[in-house]
Amino acid sequence: MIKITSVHKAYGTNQVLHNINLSFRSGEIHGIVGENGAGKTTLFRCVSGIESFKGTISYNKGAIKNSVGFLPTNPYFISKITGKEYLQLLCNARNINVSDFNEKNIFDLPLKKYAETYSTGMKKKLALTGILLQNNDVFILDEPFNGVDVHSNIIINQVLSKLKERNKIIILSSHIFSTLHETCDYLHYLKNGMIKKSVDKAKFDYVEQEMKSIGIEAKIDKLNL
Amino acid sequence: MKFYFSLLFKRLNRQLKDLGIEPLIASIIFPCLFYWVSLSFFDKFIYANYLYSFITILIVFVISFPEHDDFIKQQFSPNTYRSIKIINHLLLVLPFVCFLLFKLCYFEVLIVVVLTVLLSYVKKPNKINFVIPTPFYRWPYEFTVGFRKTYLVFLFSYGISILSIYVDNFNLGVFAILSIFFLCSFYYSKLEPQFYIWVHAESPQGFLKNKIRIAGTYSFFLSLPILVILFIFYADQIHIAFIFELLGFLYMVMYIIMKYAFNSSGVSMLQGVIGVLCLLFPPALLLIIPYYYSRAINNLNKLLK
Repeated sequence: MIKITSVHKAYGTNQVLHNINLSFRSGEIHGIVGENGAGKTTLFRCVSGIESFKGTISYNKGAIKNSVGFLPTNPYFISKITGKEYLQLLCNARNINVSDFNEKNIFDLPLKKYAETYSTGMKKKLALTGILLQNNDVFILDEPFNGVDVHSNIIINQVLSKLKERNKIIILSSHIFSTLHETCDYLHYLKNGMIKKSVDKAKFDYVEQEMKSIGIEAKIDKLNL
Repeated sequence: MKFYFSLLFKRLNRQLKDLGIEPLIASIIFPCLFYWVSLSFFDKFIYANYLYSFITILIVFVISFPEHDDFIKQQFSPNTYRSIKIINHLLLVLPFVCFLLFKLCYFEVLIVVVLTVLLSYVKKPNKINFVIPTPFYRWPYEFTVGFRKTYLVFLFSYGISILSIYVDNFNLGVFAILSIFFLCSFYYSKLEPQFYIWVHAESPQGFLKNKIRIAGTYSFFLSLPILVILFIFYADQIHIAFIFELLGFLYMVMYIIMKYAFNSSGVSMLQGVIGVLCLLFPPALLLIIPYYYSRAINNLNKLLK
């Protein structure tokens, strides 16, 4: 279980997260929703231990950092590294031995090509494959469905179900409500760095309505299209 | 177009600051340095005027990024795009042209300017996708990337070691060993993105130890052909080669540690100065390595705690 208690995060004078309190249990999939800039990525970076913060984030199985598989929104790939070498690098980092990467290549990626030449969706799939191979207990997935084709979306959904069955903790963000309905058990609405609402599956529609109710029309009118 | 060039100027200043160089100081030092290097070049080489012109054109070709070209092509009208490209190229060759004029090489200036303008009409191919095989697949990163970018330099180093036999000069062989380690040290000049450090399930000490172990193994592997050549032809002096091998290794260790101690995105001015200082006075390595080791551990603690 991961327990987030009174987490605050600021970059200089810019307060990004305010008093975040959440808990994530094994075998649950939690979705974090919010507008761009609401603080989702910062929250993910704090949970995974990339960012320092005020407050506490505890994990009942020890050091959370070494059990987290973090999928960033835009995975960055070092130049002149092939897909296979990237997977090798991620496995080395966690002392995992994989004898045949081709066998684990569930998205049929061209592993012998430079990762930097991959398309957006392929990059996401390679990064996801990497963290899946690490045998992590916690998965933090920042917009895992972004830029990924329909077939791969189905595979990702099935992978998430499998991880849930195996009692992993999964925290993800997405802007696609249909996907969130399909995958998540709980939804947390983050607005201006604060958790505005936390709901279970039955109340997902309320969160969707609330997010949609923000004066979209008025904003578009400003463009004078 | 005016805004584009002012933005270009701002970006250049920002990049200088990122490297730890004050733009005002750079505007004084760089022209002096350029003048001195150019002057030395003309002193040292025969047909320097032709070589210098060739290098100028080569620089224009190398420092041309297809992605950047595509961006300005999308944003500006065809005429403005062409003008920007030509001005960009001419600005790049301007210092070289000035020096050629100073040397009264008018014909070369004409050739350089004409070729520079013509190159503005040539579309450089996007990234080459051909994957260069490397023997460093077990621990991919610095050596895999570095080798793919600099493999031609190794041919040069191995060539120098063979030359040392032909001209019966052991020192050339030692130079070849040092060139390998100097190049490998360069692989550790740029700090990796946070993710690639954070992802390791290791303590900062373990992380650094592992980096040094990999660097030591792979650089030894790369310098082995030279050692073998020197052992066959200069067996009585092989211990000297090993001393320089050790020195090269320590030099590389210093760069690995400085990378994390400085947390900089490129070689900062101070890192460069320390590097040169240690080249001139190697015992300084014994002080610098422990000092920056503790600083590196402190910085790594933030991501590997």
